[in-house]
Amino acid sequence: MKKLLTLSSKILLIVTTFLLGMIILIDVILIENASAVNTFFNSVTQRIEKDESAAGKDSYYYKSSFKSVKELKKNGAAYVEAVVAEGATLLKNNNNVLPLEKDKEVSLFSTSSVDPVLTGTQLVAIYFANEIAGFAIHLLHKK
Amino acid sequence: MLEKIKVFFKEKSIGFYVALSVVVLSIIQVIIYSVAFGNSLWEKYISWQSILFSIIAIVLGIGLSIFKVTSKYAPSGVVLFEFLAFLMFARFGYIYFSELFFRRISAKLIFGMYYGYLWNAIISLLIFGLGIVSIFMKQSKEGVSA
Repeated sequence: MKKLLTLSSKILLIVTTFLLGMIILIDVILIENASAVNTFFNSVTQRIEKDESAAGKDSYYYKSSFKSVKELKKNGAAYVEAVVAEGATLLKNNNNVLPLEKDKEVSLFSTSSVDPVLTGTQLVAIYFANEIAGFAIHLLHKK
Repeated sequence: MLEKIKVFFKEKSIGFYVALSVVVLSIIQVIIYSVAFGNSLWEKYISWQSILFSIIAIVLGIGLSIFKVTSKYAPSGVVLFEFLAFLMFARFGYIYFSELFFRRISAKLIFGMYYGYLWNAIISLLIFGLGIVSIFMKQSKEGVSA
């Protein structure tokens, strides 16, 4: 009987410790990602109340300089086009380097190549370049 | 001295060796974790708390196993601190897993993940499995004194 009691108390202690640890961990993670969790469950955490006393007053702080959403989108598209036009680089294909052959080594030079954040699209891009396309990627490491 | 060590190991039961294997696995885990996340590329994802708890688990496991009176608490101590180390590892590494397994999970993705995460997860599972088993096992042979 005593043995059984000791055994069951051991099992209970292990299960309780495991559950307690996991609850604390999940709690910390959920609090960190509260906004994503709320979006997933479609829960409302804040709402805008209409102030009756403000009726008739101009309450807009940031007024749009566009007359309609259509105009806004048109301007946005033009802006993106300008950014691409200014940011894109036309490469001269000397010695027919492009398209790159498989097993070629590629060096990346940018802020994020020195201080990379290996999540999201950057991780995916490196993964695809490395694993799928077969390029060896060199990142500049901080010394 | 050598004779004393021989007697020490002679008195120990299988439970002790299972607990010892957990301590050895913990040492391997600390080495792999430190090497995998100690480089400049991954250092921002390292959890020093995880390494600290693992080291406490190793010291506690060895320290408690030396004395017969405390040896029965050695597996519990190791498992408890390894669990804390695992929680810290998960706390700092969950973002990697959530992005890697976002919307799909496959064997290719599991075995293609960064070796620091993969081996740490595998060794943690082994530690918990063997550690919990060793908690229920006797650390010394019945009827042997000292």
